[in-house]
Amino acid sequence: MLLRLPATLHYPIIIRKVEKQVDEEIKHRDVLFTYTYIGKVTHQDKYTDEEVEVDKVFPAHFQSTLEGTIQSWLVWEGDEIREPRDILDVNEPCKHSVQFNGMCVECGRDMTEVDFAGDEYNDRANIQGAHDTDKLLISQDEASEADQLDKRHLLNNRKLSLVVDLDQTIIHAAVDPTIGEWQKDPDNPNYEALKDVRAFQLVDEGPGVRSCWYYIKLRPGLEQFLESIAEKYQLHIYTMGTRQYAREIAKIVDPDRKYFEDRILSRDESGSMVAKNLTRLFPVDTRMVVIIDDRADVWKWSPNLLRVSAFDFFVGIGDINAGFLPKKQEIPSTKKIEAPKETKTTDTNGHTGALTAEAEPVANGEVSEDATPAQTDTTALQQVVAMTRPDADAAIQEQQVHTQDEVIASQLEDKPLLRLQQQMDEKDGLGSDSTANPPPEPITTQHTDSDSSDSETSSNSGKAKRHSILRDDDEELIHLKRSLRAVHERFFIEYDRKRTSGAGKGGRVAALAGKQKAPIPDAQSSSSDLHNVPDVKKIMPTLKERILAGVVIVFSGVLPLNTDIQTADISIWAKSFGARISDKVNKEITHVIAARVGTAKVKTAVKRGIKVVGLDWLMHSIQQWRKLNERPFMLKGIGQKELLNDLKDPSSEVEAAESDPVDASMVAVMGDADSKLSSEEDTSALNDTEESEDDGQRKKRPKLDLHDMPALDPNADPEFVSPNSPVELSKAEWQDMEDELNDFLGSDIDSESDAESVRSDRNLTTRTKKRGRDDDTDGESGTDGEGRNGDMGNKRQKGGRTSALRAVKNAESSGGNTPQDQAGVSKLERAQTQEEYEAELAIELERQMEEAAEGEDNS
Amino acid sequence: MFFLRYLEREISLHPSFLGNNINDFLQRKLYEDMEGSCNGEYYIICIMDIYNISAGKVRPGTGIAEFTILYRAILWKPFKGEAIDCVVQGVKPQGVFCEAGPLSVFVSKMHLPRDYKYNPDATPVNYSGPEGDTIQKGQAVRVQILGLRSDVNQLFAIGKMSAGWFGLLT
Repeated sequence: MLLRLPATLHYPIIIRKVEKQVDEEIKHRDVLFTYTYIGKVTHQDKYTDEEVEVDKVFPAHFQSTLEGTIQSWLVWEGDEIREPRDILDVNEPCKHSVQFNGMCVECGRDMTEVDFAGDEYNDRANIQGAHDTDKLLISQDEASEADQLDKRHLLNNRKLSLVVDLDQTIIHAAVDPTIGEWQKDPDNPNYEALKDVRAFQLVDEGPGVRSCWYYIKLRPGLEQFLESIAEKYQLHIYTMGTRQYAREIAKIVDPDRKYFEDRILSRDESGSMVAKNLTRLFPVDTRMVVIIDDRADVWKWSPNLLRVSAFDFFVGIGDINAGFLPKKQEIPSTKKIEAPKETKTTDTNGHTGALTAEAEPVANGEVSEDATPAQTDTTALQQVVAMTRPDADAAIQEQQVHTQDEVIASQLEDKPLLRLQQQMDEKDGLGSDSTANPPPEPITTQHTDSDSSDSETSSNSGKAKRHSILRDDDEELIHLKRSLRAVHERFFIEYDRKRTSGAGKGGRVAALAGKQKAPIPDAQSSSSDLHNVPDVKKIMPTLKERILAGVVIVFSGVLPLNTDIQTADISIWAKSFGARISDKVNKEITHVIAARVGTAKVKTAVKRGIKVVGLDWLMHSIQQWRKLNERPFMLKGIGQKELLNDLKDPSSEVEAAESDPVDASMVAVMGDADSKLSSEEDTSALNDTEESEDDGQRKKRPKLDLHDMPALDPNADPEFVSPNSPVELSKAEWQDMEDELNDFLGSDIDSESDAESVRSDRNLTTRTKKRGRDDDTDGESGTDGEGRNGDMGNKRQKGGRTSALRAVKNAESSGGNTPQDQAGVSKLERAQTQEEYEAELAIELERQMEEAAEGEDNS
Repeated sequence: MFFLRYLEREISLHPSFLGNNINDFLQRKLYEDMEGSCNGEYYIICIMDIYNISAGKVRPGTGIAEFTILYRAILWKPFKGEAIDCVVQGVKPQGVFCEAGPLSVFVSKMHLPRDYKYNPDATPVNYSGPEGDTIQKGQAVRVQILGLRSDVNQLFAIGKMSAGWFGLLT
């Protein structure tokens, strides 16, 4: 150990006399050498009485901060030292490299005492050395030694390390007492799914509750998964649950303790409540570590992470141990919990609202609001520091523990599952007219049903069957197993390749090095051996990036408003698989991921022949590590068109779009003039509307034929509609114009209406379009528009875009009316007199609605 | 080492407890508070008897009454150099965690009996000796305490098994 001078001395110093010789034993605080330094003193001049500063030489001595025998001096008498440097090599009897709770485990010395020179023995060992305690600290050297041993051990067994998260990754836990009741009741629709749910009791959890039952559902196929994965991986548990909890889970998951043994890290030892850090377990090197977790943000999107989709068995419960974490970004869930989602969205009574507001935020929402501020303003570095000093933010933790307790308590009281099931039952009753059914009958039918096909989707089962809200159809682990095997395989192929190819070269290098430095041959060969270890951080991303490479995605209606699409959870996830995310539908886009039909982006995509798929496609592709065929995931409402597009040669589609660029250019040029020109236009359109009001079936098809358009989509924008374009523009120019137009107008839809207003020679087309939309909106404008008086000029309409109409749109926007309905409504409306300006209002309303929809999509 | 010692404890009672069975309350509170506690120097293992409860003094302004209880308890105070028997609780590459009642003792691999080697492959993980004997979780060992350190209400020790007569108990 080299003894370094502290920074607190009065540099420069000159060493005068060395007191201790080489091989001499030194103790703490023994004088090592004397030195002199120059200080300034104020001195009164004896003649002038003035105070002058004079340099003065002071003698001093330096005491040892180390103990042991002196190996060698690096400085000698007469040397001038200008800055802190190593002066002495001391052979210490104890390096204090492993410390247990402030004691050196070898010599038993107190490591917390602080030296006069500011040296702390504490600093010698600052790496957490064990999974299950934060009291054992080891030094860097010790850690890398342990790491080497570990690695060699793994390589010999051809294994990697796998860090496994518990909650929602391999299990799902809940404390809702309803589960226990359901488990005892064979008649309950959820009985089948709950059969293998395990329970344990933890004492002293939650306020006022001495103990509470935890219900644990293992992810389907977990046992086989662990068994086969344990051959390839050494398994570690890293959970945000408490130590007790983690132990209990381990007991359930791994009763023989053969997979995890003692490699369990819980939040008690983690050192951080809000983040997981791989360096806590692998302080030196993470080249051979794979993580599986359902949350990527807690790992800061570590490249070691293989993210799995969350196991959400107990619907609406979420992760009971995620109270400290920032709120999870909700991804619209996939098919498996479709049913309960439906209950939430379709039920219009206040009941559901209350439930959704409670069930989810209770799980993680309100708590995280407390937790996030504390977390966001700490940098990553601070977090790491905090992790090694676990008691630093004890107060915050204390508070968080309380909020966590509240989460559990509220779940115990609220019984969210019970309520969900009740709603499901209610819905069943409403939907299948079986409200009056006597209880005995459903039970019998349900018995047979649930025995044969419990997890089956309930569409074909009898109407008397009560739908279960819990589904046991998760298959993530099967895919996960495959992906993990792929990573393992790839890793060792790489390793073998490097080893065989590097053997000759490495041998030479080793031989050369051996000649020069004559080191121990063993160490040399072993280090070169470990040099060949490939890096999971490189292997896994390359594997993943291939999967969706070349895919460019636009989200439509998937992400909530005001989310940054590039940093949204799902986006980062998709990007890690090689996909690119865009916010506009342009030429590059290969897939539009849409939550519902009818958004502007979907329309544009359909028109251009871009595949419109549900979020399921992305999720399943990510889950299964391969780009799936889009067909089964095509969005329902536009499926036919989609197929049509698929069948058609895509180039013809492009041609169709390109053949009529002039209209668009005209629109682009005239777009800004529309407000001046539109009045005549609008009225004519309205006249047309009146004419054709009765004819509900008349569509724009004939008009299109009139224009001689080949296979044009009914939803196509007018930009694309005119075939008889006198001017030919190149593709690039066309693209530029379109972009400009889009930028200017903000949306395609806007341009649609604008275009209508401008072009009088295409009245027919626009009129029919208008009619369709008028029908859409007349109902709304009837209620709202009637109240407005006076003549509405077009300019005024423009100016009044933010009028009260906006308030209506929310209520109406969800309604996807059928033409028949609209026709009926519109007839009623026509009975009233002021048709003209009603229709005007309708146009205006429509425009606003679409704007709003567009804004939603963009975000 | 175990001691029998007279100790003193002040207990405050809320006025609502001031009644016929006040002695019961005081006694129960004393047992609850003190048994199994650690003051950083010793553990109170068991309270033997109470031999005096002082007259209560009402704290002015609050109504809370204070009593001083004199009692006798069995203490356990571990000493440096003392030999204790413990149970192995965890086996790590750096050493072995043992527990002697409430005290957790860490024995570094340096201080294990001579020639014990770490076997990460074994289930459960263990240190094995030359004669095939293993130190693994759940085994009883005799440890000499090398150093002690107290936390707020817990003691920690490090120990060694390397000297004669220490190590596995058979």
